Amino acid sequence: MKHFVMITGASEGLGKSFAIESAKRGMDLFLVALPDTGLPSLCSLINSNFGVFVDYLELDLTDDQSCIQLLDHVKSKNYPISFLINNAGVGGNYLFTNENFTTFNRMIQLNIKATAMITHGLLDVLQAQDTAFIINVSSIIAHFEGAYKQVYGATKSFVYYFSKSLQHELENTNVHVSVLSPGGINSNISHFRKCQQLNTISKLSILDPEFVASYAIQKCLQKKNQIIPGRLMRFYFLFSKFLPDFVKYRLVKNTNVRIFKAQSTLQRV
Amino acid sequence: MKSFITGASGYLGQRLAMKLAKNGEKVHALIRNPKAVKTLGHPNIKVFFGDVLDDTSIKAAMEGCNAVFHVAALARVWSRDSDDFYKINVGGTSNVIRISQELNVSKFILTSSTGTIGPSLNLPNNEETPRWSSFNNDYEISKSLADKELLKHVANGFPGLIVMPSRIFGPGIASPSSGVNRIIIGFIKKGFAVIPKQSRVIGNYGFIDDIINGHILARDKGAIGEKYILGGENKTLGELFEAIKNRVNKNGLILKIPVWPLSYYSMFSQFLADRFGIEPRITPDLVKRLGQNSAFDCSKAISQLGYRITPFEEAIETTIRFLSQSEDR
Repeated sequence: MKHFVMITGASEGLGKSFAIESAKRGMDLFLVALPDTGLPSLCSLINSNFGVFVDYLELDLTDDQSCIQLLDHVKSKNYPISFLINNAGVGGNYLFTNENFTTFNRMIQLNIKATAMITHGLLDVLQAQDTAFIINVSSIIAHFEGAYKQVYGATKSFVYYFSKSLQHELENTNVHVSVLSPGGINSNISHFRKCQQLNTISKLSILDPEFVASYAIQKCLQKKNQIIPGRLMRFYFLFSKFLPDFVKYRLVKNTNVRIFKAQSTLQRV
Repeated sequence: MKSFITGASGYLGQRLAMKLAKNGEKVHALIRNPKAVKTLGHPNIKVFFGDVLDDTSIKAAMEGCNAVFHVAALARVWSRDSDDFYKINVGGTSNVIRISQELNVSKFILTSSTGTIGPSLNLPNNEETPRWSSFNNDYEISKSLADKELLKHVANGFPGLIVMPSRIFGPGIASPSSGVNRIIIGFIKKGFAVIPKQSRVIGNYGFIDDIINGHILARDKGAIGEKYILGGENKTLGELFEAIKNRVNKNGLILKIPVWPLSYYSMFSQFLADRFGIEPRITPDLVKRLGQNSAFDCSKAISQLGYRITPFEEAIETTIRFLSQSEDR
């Protein structure tokens, strides 16, 4: 069956890779991203290379009104969306006390509220298709709480709980929900440079967005519930369940501190 | 016309300097390594010792030139300190731009790379193709930042433009920069080569003399602020190796192996590099590249500059003849 996929945050990193991967699989696309992030040229690249239908809308999903506008737009165009990828999200490492609350508010608005609103608003469209799929992008750090990621990690925990619960609710319907829990992704230049401060094992656990997107779509279509890309990360995840809390905490702290320091140095440059 | 060339001791820069000199033009060549002087022996070439990180040396060498070819770059897959890529490729470029502004140079040609555009999908990439693939190495990131730096100055009236060679091969000084040359030399010496199973992956292979002519055409006809891809024909990896095998040694062996051993080997090399500073022969990023198309379309340079592509078979023939002779010596 030919899928029609909607991807949020499609102009950069993982979202862009989701778009390319979906097009490779012959899906039609509707892409959403912030204005001036190169969405129109990405759409024409996809259309000329794969000959699939592509449309887009540029707006900022940290705003409730924009989410409503997006839902209205999809409904007015009657797009037969059968695959929803809630990918848009913001992250970063911050000291809770030092950071302006605007930063955290954006995380909550985009990672939590937009995800919930869009899923809620599009469920009837998805249910109207033969079979439909949802990928919600969480993060492996939802399972590894640690410093500098308080609000970000909490928003990703929301996505995890929300997706798992929704999957239970929609069991035996035509809609399947997967939650994607990736480790580090090489999603942009500054992230690539930050990750160079890590040791080889951590560096090798950083995955390319192209790989993550392709793996996630494949596993979601196979109706997997939680998707953890990367053998190393799957091993780490399983292994961590047997570790005492204090050891696990040490490991998390190590990585978080390095990334936080790298981020601060890069910002100063 | 007097031209200034940075990186004149490199594979591309040296041949560009010699070509201009043979055309009867005056050249100021900036080099770091005194040993490279002998490769630039021509009465029209004046050699200056210096470094793109040293403003005084750049200025002394550039004085009196109207055109600048900024060819110098750290062009490799790995460096002990990854910051080197940014210091040399980005910082060095801003230095050369700044001094070109001071000396009122009339045209500045930055040698970039098709690597900044990245891999292609079903169609060949052109100058306008947005980057869809993630950046995975410091070389490509730094070259892409250097392009941005130049375009920022162009917006303020600086007469700069960008040329982007693809994978370069052909006669020239011995250098690790040309992967194709290294493959040919290996095949001449050992009579066999190992390639990944996915031999239908497409690459763009540019003949060095075409690319050098392209640089000169860009100086003479190129429009300010534009990018021009200077490449050759798009060929699959299998076609490339067949072309080499047929000419070097018909009984040679091309061993097709799956990618995964290469992938593990590259991870191990990466570990040795991080841990002990041993230069990796292959990086995980290179292995990834082996599976991706890198086809490019040079029509813009052909129609706007009069760029010409030597037919692939002919270019390979010339290269093999040259490399066989240098190996015999």
